[in-house]
Amino acid sequence: MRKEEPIVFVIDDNSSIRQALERLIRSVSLKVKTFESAREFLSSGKYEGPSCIVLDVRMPGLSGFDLQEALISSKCDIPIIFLTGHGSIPQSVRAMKAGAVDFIEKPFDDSLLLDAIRKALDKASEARVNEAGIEMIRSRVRSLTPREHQVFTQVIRGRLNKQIAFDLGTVEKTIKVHRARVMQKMQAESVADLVRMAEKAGTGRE
Amino acid sequence: MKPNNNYSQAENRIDFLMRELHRLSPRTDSLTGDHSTGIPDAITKIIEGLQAIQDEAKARHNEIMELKSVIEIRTAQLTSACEKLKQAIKERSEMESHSRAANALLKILYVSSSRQNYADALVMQIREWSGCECVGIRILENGAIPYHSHVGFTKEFWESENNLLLNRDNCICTRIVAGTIGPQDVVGMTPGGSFQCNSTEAFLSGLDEEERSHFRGVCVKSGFMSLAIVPIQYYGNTIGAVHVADQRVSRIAPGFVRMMEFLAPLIGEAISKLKIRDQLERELEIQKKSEAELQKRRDELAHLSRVVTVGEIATSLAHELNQPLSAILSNSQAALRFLSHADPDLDEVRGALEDIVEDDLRASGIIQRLRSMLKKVRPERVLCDLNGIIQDTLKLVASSAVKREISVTAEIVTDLPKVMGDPVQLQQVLLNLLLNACDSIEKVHPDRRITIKSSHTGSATVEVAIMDTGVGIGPGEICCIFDPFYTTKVEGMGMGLPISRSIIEAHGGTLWATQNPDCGMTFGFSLPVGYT
Repeated sequence: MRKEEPIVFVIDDNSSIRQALERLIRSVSLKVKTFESAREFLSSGKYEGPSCIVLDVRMPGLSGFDLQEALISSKCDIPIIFLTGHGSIPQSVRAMKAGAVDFIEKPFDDSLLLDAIRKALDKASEARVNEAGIEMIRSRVRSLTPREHQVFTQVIRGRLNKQIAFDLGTVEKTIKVHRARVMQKMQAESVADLVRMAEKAGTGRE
Repeated sequence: MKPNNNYSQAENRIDFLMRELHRLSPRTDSLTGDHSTGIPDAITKIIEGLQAIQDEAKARHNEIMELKSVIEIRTAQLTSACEKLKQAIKERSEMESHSRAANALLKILYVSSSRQNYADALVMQIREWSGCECVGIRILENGAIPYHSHVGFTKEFWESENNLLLNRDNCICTRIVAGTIGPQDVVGMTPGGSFQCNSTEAFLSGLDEEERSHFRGVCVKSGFMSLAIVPIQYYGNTIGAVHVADQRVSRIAPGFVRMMEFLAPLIGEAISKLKIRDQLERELEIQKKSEAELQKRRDELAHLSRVVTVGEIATSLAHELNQPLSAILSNSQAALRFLSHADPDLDEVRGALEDIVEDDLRASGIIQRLRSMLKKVRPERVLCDLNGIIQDTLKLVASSAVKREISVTAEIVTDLPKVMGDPVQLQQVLLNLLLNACDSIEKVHPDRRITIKSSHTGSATVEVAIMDTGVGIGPGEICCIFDPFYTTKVEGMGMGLPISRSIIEAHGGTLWATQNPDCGMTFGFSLPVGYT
């Protein structure tokens, strides 16, 4: 089994449901792991590959929403599919706002859940690719000298070379050189490209 | 032969002999005078002897006469004593017959189930005693003296005489019951206030016109010649009369009326007491009926409150039912998917089917529990396993507790003796107490726990206690919480605890509530251990 293989985590306190979900997910040849409680899942350690959670809303101890909150606060954006006995609109709105992929009412049709799982795993893979891209941009930003970084932050704010030179107390020509160096180091084809990269990585605005 | 005659004859003979003797003697001029020497000595001696005999005889005669008078006095005394004895014997035998009659009355009373029953038996007995054809018992009721029971009277007579009113109809029966006729008023009244007559015709014709107007004369017109009316007394009041009649003359023996007068207070007492007993029995009957009605209402109320309680947990039960249904669906669809594979994994399919069977049983178990709570059955008494009932009830409230984030723990002693009771009602009590506990925790700090404990307290009692960490109740409220319609909940009906308590008390147990030292309440009940 490769490390990258996608996996579905099922968290439900009801053993019947757990077993049924495990079998259903297994029937489409997906890897699945079940947990009796949110706490058990949290203490199981982080999985590196793409994954999603099928989570029961109502559980003794930590509820589904509690787990969602705990994951958000630990900056873990693993996609969550909520299962509920009787879904209420406020509940599902709250879950979706917090980033849930889907909110499914029991009993459900298999394709509904399996589609949701596929979507969630795709999202997870995408996120992983995204994450890799961000990491690359961040490493490029780190390769900039302090002066180049200063110029970089000014450029993505849409400042002109003249203004940047004035602010930094130098001449326009010097800024032009720094700017070309930034574009080259960041492998940006245009200023727009540079701005997109900065936004994606969430850098350059400090 | 009478001694008197003998004595006179003897005297006459002596006189004759003496006269003869004097005649034989030459100088006998006096029979009794001096005996002159002329009379031969022998004769004189004979005369003297005769004289002595005569004197002796006289003395004897006097003695005899004295004796005779003594004997006469004695004889008279004896005769009178004998008469007295005869009277005493007669009285004694009358008393004996009275006490036999009283015994017979007691027997009748003993076997009578009601006043009517007693009166019916009484008229037959009096008819036997009196030898008369017709007997009736009149009982005073609201100024009238209808026959409570009667035998022998014709329909016409009964219709005419059954509705006599004391203040309207003037006749012997009414006057005796009203007490307006006394022994001196008419012939035939006894010192005991009864009337007896062996020829009514003679009685009526013996009265003057004015007196006759005080009698209706229906008895005479109906052909009754012999008549006796004896008042029935109770504590000095006349409460009715025994009416005896016969068409023949001289059917009323004087002893019969005396006996009836002797028995009248007994009859009066029996009739009055039976009247009270009849009333009591009627009231008891009514009370029994209303108690049965009350019990029925109580059962209905218990059932209603059970339905309400089940309604309260219906949402969470639906969720409970949803779980196995959802698992069944997923397992079936998973099985179908496995079967559609090119090389189906039959072990997976088998596993799915096994789980489906199990989940189906789980679902029907929930429905079964629900149905038994909603079933309207008469409460039964069977040996119940309280631990089992506790487990079942916890299953009913489990999802409701999870929803409210309350942890419920059971501390159950194994080998708890069984109790005699109705499992559905006991489960109702447990459910009610558990839901109350959940409600009290609704708005409470992080410590949200319910502990349910079963224990074997005494040799003959088992106890169940339910402790919560809820808000509890105010110190003044603990006495009110078992009152009907007392509630601290916005949507409460206030019937849960009173119904629970009445259920436990009907099981011979007690239901109680105490405040925990730290927080929350403990509700508990004890039940007697059941024996088969």
